[in-house]
Amino acid sequence: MKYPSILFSLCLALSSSTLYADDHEHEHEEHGAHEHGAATLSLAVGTAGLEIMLESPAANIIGFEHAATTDADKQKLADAVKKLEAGAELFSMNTEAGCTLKSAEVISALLGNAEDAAKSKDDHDHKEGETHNDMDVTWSFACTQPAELQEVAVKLFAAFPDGFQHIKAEWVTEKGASALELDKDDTIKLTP
Amino acid sequence: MILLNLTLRSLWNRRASLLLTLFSIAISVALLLGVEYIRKEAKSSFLSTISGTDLVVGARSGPVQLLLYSVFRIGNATNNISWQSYQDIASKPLVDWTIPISLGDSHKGYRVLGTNQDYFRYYRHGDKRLLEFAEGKPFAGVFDAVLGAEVARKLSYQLHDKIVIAHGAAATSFTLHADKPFQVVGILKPTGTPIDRTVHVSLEGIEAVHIDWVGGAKVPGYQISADEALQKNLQPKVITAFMVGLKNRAAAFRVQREINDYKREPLLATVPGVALAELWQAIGMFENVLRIITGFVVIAGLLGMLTTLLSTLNERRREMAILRAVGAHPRQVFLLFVLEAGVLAVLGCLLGAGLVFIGLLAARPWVMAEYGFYLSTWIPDMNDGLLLAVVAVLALLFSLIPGAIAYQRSLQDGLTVRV
Repeated sequence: MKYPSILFSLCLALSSSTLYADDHEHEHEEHGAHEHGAATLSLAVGTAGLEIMLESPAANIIGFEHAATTDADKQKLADAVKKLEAGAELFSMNTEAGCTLKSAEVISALLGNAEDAAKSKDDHDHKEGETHNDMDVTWSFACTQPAELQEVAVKLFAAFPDGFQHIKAEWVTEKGASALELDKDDTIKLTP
Repeated sequence: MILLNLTLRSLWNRRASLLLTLFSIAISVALLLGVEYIRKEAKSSFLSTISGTDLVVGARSGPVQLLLYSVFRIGNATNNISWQSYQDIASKPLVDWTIPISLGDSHKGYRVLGTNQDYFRYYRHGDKRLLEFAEGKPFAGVFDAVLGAEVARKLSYQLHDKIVIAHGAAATSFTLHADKPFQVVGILKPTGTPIDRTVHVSLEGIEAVHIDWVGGAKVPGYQISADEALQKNLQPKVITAFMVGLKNRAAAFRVQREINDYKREPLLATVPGVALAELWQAIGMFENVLRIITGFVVIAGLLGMLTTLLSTLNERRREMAILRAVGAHPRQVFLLFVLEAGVLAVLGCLLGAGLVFIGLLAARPWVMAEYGFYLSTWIPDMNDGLLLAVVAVLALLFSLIPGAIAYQRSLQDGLTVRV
């Protein structure tokens, strides 16, 4: 008695999924990796300066990933954003390059400014309450002598001691590209 | 100075056994330096395979795997990507140039790479060097082929030879595209990279040989001749991967993100340098194992020296006694042993370095002929110097043992010592 109904609902589910596929012929579902403790840090050295991008689960930075509703959570979030925006304290470059922080941008669904916020609404399997949210930060440094830029010291582990376990740092310069796995604050040597 | 002179003469007196000791030190040092050399050369040759390419894009798998199959011809693609996606990304404003590649066929064990003329225009290796032709020119027609240096040499192909490519990547494939032979129009100069082991044809050529194939096999009774194939639409529908050059290198991560978020199909973009660094980190452990092994070989060589020094202690009691009798201080007897070890270690290091240098010079023509890989001349750097210093210091430390024994005995023994 029970099985036919299961079969029936299975058929229904299958047919609805094919319908779905028709509707979104050129789209596929995305489930990005999300590992607490891990993050990716990309450094790009251009002719104008240095751009640093951090992609991290929000938990690494603020300790939670749900929408901030309580005052304590809101305070934590605000503090973290302030800390991130003061990027000059999170990174330091060799002085010859003459780099200064031009802008810092924090994007996260928790702040309501992520493009993903709109996208995740479409996600048919997206449920309230079981979200994982990322925090993406972009820092732009303007450098007077970008060619002199050789070292970038990363101080994220000290700044967020409870969050990061390991950070995959990758960088491109005019001369080449490379990567390094960081598990504590360290200095990245950009020269190959 | 007298002491050094004495040491050298004493060593010369026992040259037969000491020569063997010297050789064991030299060989262990040569091994140590040789491993360091190979480690560095392998890395630089790996890194020099691709340069000037900002992104490699393929079906979603892992960055290292993508790089291995698209650039190093190791392993196979998990999936192909559509021509449409390729065109979409190639037309992005930040993209300067692209090189499509299509893999899957082979010629006598050498991979066949389908691409277009942009490959010869933009692909760079080593110190941003373009591909150079030893003979001929890039392919222009559908059934033209350009051979890598090793392919041409090993299979002794000349320009205008006809070659038949086989379906699949196995060395002995029975499914040949015999009805549509390719003509050799160019032979590349050696690069020391996997390009030397590649047969390059046009994407249209790859499409043409498969035009009468359905589902990976020839359809009986259905045949389209080479001339007929030329009339068909030879625009490929899928390719294996493509390389991207950007107008501004600093945008690499931004474009990479954009491609990784591409909605039409799951793509993966990777920065070659980053993927290579990841690969090297994975291999790094084996490097360390190799280093540890050579470290132990050096210690074994030095222990051999220690054994020789210790075993001759008794024989040399009279020598020491005489030295004492003519006024040598026990400290000088002690120094004699340290100097002896020092001389052996320095000579061993020099001999070892010489072995590496000469060995590489001797192996160069053979390696070039066999692997198309130029062994650069061995020039010791700071790191090598440091290693040699460590060997010398270790030898001196080891010599403290026989030195101390001799020191003590020289205080006790008189001239009447019975040997």
